[in-house]
Amino acid sequence: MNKYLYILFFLFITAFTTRESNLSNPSLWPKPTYDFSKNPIEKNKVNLGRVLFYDPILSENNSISCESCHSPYSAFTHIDHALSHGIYDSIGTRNSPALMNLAWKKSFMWDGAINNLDMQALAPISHPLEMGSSIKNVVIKLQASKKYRQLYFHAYGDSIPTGEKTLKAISQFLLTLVSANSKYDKVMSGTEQFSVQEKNGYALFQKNCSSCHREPLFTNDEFVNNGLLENPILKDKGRMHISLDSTDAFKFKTPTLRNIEYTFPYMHDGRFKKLSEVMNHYTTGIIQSKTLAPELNEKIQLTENEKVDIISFLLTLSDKEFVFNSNHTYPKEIISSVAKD
Amino acid sequence: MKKYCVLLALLLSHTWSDAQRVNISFNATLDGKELLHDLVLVKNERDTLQINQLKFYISKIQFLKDDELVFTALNSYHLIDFSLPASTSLSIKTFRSISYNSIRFYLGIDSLTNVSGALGGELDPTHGMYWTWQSGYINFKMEGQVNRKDEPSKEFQFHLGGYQQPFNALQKVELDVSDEDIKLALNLNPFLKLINLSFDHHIMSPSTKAVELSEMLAKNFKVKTNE
Ligand code: HEC
Ligand code: HEC
Repeated sequence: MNKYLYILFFLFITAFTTRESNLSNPSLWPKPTYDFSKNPIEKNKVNLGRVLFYDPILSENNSISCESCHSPYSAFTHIDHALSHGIYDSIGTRNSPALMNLAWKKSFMWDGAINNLDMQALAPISHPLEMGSSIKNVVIKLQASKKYRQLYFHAYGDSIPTGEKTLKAISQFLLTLVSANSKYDKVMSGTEQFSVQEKNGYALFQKNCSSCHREPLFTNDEFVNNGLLENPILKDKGRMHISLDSTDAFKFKTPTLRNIEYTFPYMHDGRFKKLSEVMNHYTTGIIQSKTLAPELNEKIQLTENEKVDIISFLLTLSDKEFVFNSNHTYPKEIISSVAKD
Repeated sequence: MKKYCVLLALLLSHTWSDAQRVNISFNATLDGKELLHDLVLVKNERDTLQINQLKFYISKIQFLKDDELVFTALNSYHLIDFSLPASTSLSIKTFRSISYNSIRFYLGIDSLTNVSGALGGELDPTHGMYWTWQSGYINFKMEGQVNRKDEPSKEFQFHLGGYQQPFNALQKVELDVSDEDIKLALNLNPFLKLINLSFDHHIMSPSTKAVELSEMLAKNFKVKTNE
């Protein structure tokens, strides 16, 4: 049953990406963690989720949408802002992560505070510095909207919005944000080739980086301390906030490196603007501490040329088709086909 | 096809004719007084205690006869909310007639349900019993204030929950019962005794303290006997 739903999900995604992608060959990818049997992907639900994602109705004063911090043109991160900006121009405490391949994650947020994709939207909706509302108020506003009554009816055969239906529809849209069509993917499936420099960078990457940024998702989905100096203002202890266990201090969820070209600035607090700064961190900036990942205890030695090679490899993870996919952008066509409020 | 449906319906209605309904109602008491309709309690001429919100989840209700399980209610997740009197009494359909002398239920939501994504009905997050910045159900919520003459009032917010070890706050409650009309009361005195209300209290996330307070609550459900 589950396997069947999972294949349906792949068919759905591949229908959305124009050219042949690696997803048509799921054997190259691990099995998703999201339980599709509880929320089977359907076009009208994805559409509803997409409209919700772009609608500031989710915030208290109708000013901020999910897109405000997660723009499709930057692989769904808040481009050029180290810390996300939210309601009433408040500044959050963390860099908004890029959103992609979420069906494969066990937990969400830099510290894993969220245990299921469905529950993710509750955090920004309720956060006083982000959207400043509550799911209860959001549902009341949606119930009063002609447009949404129609969209919920198309999606669920029932025009009354509830918290459950709203959250599941947002998940449906987020699940379709699959990036699997970069140059790297094409090289892996044998349709393109790396340049000499990219190939060299790939080998160095596999040696130094892939224990955490594991292929093909470029994350091991675990919490690790990669040796950043503690931010003196934010004093963010990462995973320890959730586990209350001091052996988790300064551990953060390994982020994916797919589309890294578009998702600057980097790290949980957006401290680095350029990939060259990230490379310098790994070679000369590692701060020793009790919780530092063991593989970083020994210094990573890379020449300037080798650093450039790794960066040229990282740029092969850019998926233009993902970033410019018109199925992910503002849903003009859906909104114009339903009632106006 | 239609014929079979009719047959099936007959069959079912036959077996269901033995169905039984057990009513379980919840109340809370403080200093022996029932809180259901009046959440303001004048303790003495100096202090008043005002409870603004009192809500908790009851789940997996089971009936036992001499310690042997006879019936488990299906899908039993119930939000008892003292601001909605109708929510404080449950009517459990047993589908067949059962004989029992004790009941068992949980105060809170099990860990599997906690990781199952968005759920509806009594478990819909619009009920305000789901944490937002960190996933998980709030098993028990009590908010209010203590007003003391000539002093600024002190607030308390207890949001107790947590499903991951070592902070799993889910509690089992077992009580001997003799009636089909089961009236339960949660005595809040021992709970309030554990905490010093001359300070503000904001327990809003899973912790050792939250587990300790949840244990204390679970021990203080009592069966009211009909004299
Ligand atoms: C004010 C900016 C802001 C808004 C608005 C916002 N987010 Fe986020 N989002 C963030 C930040 C910052 C994080 C990381 C927070 C953390 O780790 O503590 C994040 C994390 C996420 C994640 C987790 C990604 C991962 O890999 O762990 C998802 C999914 C997400 N947001 C979806 C949404 C959705 C859906 C909405 C709209 C309901 C939304 N966001 C609205 C800033 C925002
Ligand atoms: C021990 C595990 C580990 C190793 C090895 C490792 N990283 Fe990371 N990497 C992380 C973690 C964890 C973060 C996020 C840290 C944070 O923000 O607190 C990260 C962040 C990054 C980021 C920023 C991503 C973003 O979206 O903000 C880049 C780029 C990066 N690493 C590249 C590399 C490269 C290149 C190498 C090899 C030279 C490497 N990493 C080796 C764990 C690791």
